[in-house]
Amino acid sequence: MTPLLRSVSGLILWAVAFSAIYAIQGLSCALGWDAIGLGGPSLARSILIATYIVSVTILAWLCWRLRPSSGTRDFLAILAFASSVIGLLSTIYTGLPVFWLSICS
Amino acid sequence: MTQALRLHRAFERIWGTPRGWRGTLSTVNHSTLGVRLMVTAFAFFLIGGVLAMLIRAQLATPGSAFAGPDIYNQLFTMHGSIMMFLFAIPMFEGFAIYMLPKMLGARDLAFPRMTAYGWWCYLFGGSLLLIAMVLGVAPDAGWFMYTPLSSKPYSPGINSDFWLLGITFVEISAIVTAVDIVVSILKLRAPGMSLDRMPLFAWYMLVTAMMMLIGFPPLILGSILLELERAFGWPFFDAERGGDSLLWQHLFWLFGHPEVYIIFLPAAGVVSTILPVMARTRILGYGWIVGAILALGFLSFGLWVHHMFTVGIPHMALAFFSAASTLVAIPTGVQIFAWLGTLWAGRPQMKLPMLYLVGFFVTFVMGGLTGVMVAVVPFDWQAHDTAFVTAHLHYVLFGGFVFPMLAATYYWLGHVTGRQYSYTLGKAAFWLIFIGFHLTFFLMHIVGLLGQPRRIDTYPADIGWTGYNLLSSVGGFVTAIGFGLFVIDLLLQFFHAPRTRRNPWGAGTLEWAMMLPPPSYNIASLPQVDDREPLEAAPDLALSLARGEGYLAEPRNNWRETLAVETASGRIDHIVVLPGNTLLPLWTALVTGAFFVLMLLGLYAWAPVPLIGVAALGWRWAWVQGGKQPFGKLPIGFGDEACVHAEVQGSPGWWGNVFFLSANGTFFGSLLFGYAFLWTIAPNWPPPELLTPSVPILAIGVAGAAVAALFGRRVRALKGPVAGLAALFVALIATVWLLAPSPTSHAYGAVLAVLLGYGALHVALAILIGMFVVRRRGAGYVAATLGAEPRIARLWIDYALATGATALIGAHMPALLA
Ligand code: HEM
Repeated sequence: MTPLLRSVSGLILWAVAFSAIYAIQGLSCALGWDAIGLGGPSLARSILIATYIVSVTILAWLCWRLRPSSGTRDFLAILAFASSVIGLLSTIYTGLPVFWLSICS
Repeated sequence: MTQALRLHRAFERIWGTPRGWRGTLSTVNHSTLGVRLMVTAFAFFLIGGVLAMLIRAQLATPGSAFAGPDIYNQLFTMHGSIMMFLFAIPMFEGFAIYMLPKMLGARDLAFPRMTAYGWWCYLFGGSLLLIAMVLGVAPDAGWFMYTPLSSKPYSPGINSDFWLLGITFVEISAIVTAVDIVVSILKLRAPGMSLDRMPLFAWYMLVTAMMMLIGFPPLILGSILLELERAFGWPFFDAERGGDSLLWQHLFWLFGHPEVYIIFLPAAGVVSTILPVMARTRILGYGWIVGAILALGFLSFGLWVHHMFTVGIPHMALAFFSAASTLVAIPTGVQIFAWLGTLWAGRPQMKLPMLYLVGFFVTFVMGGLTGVMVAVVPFDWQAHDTAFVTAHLHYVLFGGFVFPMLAATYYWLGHVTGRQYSYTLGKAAFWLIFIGFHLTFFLMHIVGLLGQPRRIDTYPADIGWTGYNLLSSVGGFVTAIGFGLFVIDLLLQFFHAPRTRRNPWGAGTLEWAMMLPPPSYNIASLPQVDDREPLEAAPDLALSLARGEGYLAEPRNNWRETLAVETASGRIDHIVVLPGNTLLPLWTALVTGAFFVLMLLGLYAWAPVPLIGVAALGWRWAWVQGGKQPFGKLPIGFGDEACVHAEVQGSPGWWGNVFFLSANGTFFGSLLFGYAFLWTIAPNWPPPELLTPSVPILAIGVAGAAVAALFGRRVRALKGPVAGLAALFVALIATVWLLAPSPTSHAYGAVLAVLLGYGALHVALAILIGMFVVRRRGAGYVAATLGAEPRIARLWIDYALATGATALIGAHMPALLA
């Protein structure tokens, strides 16, 4: 069962990152963090960007960890690598709005 | 042939269903139940179709007086709900129940009694909705039941209760079936069938069933909360008292968007199975497809807010979901290219199933294009809630589900009936359905862009919608005639066609390696699989399996035996001895139904009685399994040997509990989400009065949970942990009873009551399961001494203490901090 779980770990991480970013966005608006400035970007935006970067880093590391040894024919190992790459690209793409869109309106 | 006949008789005696009523009611055979599910689902499709015709009759002309707004609301609500919950889901479930064990080289599913229970629950729950319709009090708040429209002040009648209770009853069936399917795919396969040799359809169903385990709990939670609000006035969705109707929308679409893919994936699995056979080649890009469906399974959950574009959600949140919506197009595209590539590489034949697949392609691709249009936020503002959306959703659902299922019908009909397809009615039916469908719904795009809203019962004559609507209705009736022909064709096929030969399409998958129609035990022996298409290398596999030249060829001890494999590699793991025919599923479903009926009738004081009944039946259900004698390693053929499942730790029962608890965990997670959502987003918070915190009660509960967590873990002792859980139970009950504010005054109290109640219920269940295993161990049952039962009890104890402690702490913390 573990090899199967490993082969979706990238996607699971995407789901975690996506939910976390959405939750932080909702929470920041409820608690007014977008109005708290930190010099440059607001507190809300700083936390969102930090979460984004952390998630992308973890996923990139996962891709590296799960890279298949050259010439392998182990289906689940290739699948695990593929899903971590999909997870990475999806996280990069779905999280992009944290950089510029208005957070609470 | 005599050897094959001898085996057939011997296996039939063990696996067969006795004649007469008792046999009919007690059967747990997957072929019988799969067909029953499909027939029932088709009956609901016809009913939903009649409702669609009534809708089209009403809209055919402006100012029609055929149905007033009240009836019209019931019509489209029932049409949508029947099609989504009572047709599409049960239809593919029935298909999977019938087909999966055969494709995987097994004799039945992992939990045959659950399969039967699932069918009965579906039948009874669906019947509740039909009764409502006959009584003229059918649900009328739309298939997504938005609050406050569906709340008590706006829907005072019993209509919405029928929806909430009936659909929840049917969802029970969906959950148990999903667990059944997941465990069967992961464990009950022929030896040697590693995951990468599994037929693609099994991958599709694996992902679908997992999505059901994650997607349905939020809907079940939403339904329970709304029913609690309607029955007892607990204000989860009532903004006056701290509720929020957006909470319903979140819970519904957390389920609702994945639902579309839950319906589409099995149909896509059918396409991926039939298409290569029609093209006389193998599917192209097996690995790519597996990757794509896994990605689809996950990404489709990132879309729920996509249905809430117009309710004032911040830009950034919308952008997340818009991004996810565009992203899911990629895996869908990968599949479409794999299909096209397969066609390109092969030598396609325009046989009848292929014709329906062409219908699928054309329709589904158009639905995809309009889907891209509505995913673009500015366009969605324009098209939202118009007939354009109705048209889009039918292109996707009808194109993506109904056409593939029709193709499947014609492809596998001979498998079910054992007869050869020999009429041409199916072709005429295709053209009528295809032309009728496109006529109906293409025009609805246009009239939607002209501004016709959905869900209107009538429209004025002078705004230019009349012609489109009339033609659209004509199209609807042409479709209906097409389905009439289809039904006649099926009947002819059942009663008149000559017997078929084996494997008529020359397919490679294992479901064709058996007699047609399949015997109750499927295969007299299990094959050793070393290719994705075992029949290609061994066209005579059916005969050699029937002669017993495989695993488990000798019946013994009157057992229903099949093999379980190690998940990834497909190595033989153990023998599974499946339960035989029993009336327990029927009784359990009846008692479950009694609960829902009592709730409907408002006899709330009596409702706990059937729940106790279910617990008692559940106890019996588990108790009758297994024996007291260990068997050790038993021969299984080819000189191999294996233990029976009662004597191993990783039995199907263990895995079933793992997956059931993951669905349950999603339920709990959704509840926590609801709590957090209301607290941060809903108006009228913070609540006027918080819980009175009590450190001693909190301490007792946490200490109990700690005892349960730490004691007896290594040696699987259960009495210590059960005692710890008892303390946690007391703390939870004391918190609801003595400390929490009334659940009717504010959503805060209502959420706390549900949260703590959930914790207490699971702690009580875990105590019961712990006691059960202690009793079984005392009585000397093998499964409770050598086998997985103590491990399963431990799993429940851990789940209960984690959720119970979370609920207790989650209830106390805000008040302690305040
Ligand atoms: C013969 C084929 C069908 C016809 C002619 C038809 C017709 C219609 C029409 C006219 C409506 C719109 C009612 C309104 O908004 O006023 C509708 C709604 C709907 N239909 Fe169908 N339909 C057909 C098949 C299906 C199938 C196969 C499914 C699903 C698998 C389906 C699912 C739905 C849903 C979910 C709604 C939305 C109900 C709501 O607004 O609450 N339909 N249908």
